[in-house]
Amino acid sequence: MSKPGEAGLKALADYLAQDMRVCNQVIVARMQSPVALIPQLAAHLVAAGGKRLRPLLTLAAARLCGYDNQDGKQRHVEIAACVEFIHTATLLHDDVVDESQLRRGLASANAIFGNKASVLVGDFLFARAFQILTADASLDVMAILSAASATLAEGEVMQMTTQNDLSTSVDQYLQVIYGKTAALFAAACEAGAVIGESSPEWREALRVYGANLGMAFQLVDDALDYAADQAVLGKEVEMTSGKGKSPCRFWRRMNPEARKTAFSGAV
Amino acid sequence: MIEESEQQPEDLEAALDRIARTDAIGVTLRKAEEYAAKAREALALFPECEIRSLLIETASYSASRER
Repeated sequence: MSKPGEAGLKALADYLAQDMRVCNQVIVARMQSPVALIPQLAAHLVAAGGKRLRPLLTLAAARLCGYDNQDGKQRHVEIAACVEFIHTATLLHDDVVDESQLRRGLASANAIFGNKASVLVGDFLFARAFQILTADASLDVMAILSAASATLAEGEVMQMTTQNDLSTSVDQYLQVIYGKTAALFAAACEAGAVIGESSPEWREALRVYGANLGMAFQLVDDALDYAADQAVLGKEVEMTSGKGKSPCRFWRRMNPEARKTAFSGAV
Repeated sequence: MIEESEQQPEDLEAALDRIARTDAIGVTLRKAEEYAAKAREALALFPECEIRSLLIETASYSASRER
């Protein structure tokens, strides 16, 4: 039986299927390189699938704001691919940092190709993302996605520096998940609004939508790590690495009796 | 034990048991639903249309998904 909303996500993907097909073509085309290992490794992650939620958000936001690409351009598709590249680059780097062996139920890229290759191809994907941005030539879109990329890195560094620290507060935890996840959701939506030439009010509304969606998404992701069967989720439950998701820290953060600070609406 | 990085095999089960007893997962999922509600509210100023409805449904999905 499907859960509430599950049909909605599929319906969103179906509604944007044509745009997503073109987006996937752009992703494959833009990850090509004469250095064979780059498309080989990138294809491993792209082939593993995933929800493609972030590029879908860019496409949806652009369409919601009336972008009709009647000018023959495919700006929404190019920027959606750029968003996916930024996300994929962070996945490659995260799996190295976390020493993860699984990603989306398959062996992670670092498990197959090694840490050095994963880090360097992640760098390539970041660089490719910024090539797409400069080709699009919108300073607003560049500002949104480059700021989100910096926030992503900050979130990951913050997660690393708070690991094994049981005094980490709930607010700090929420800051980490905003940085590592919600910031890119927000940027994906806001960039779509810019492409759709929206009003400032609509642009802000879509940024807020994306930020809150990302917070909900990451909170559930963390909860699923401990509530779901490991094999079904395709991830590993760890407690020894000290990363943000260790169950003891998770308990400490979310235990109502142990909390020192109240949850706050961070977004 | 986390701070000392000296976990034993039985510690994982103990930690998961503690998570279950304190309803930490329930607290997290309720917080996720609060954020999902804020996401849905943010779309209120857009005119009703199919894609807005689908984005609202996506927000519901984000807080209720199982994988």
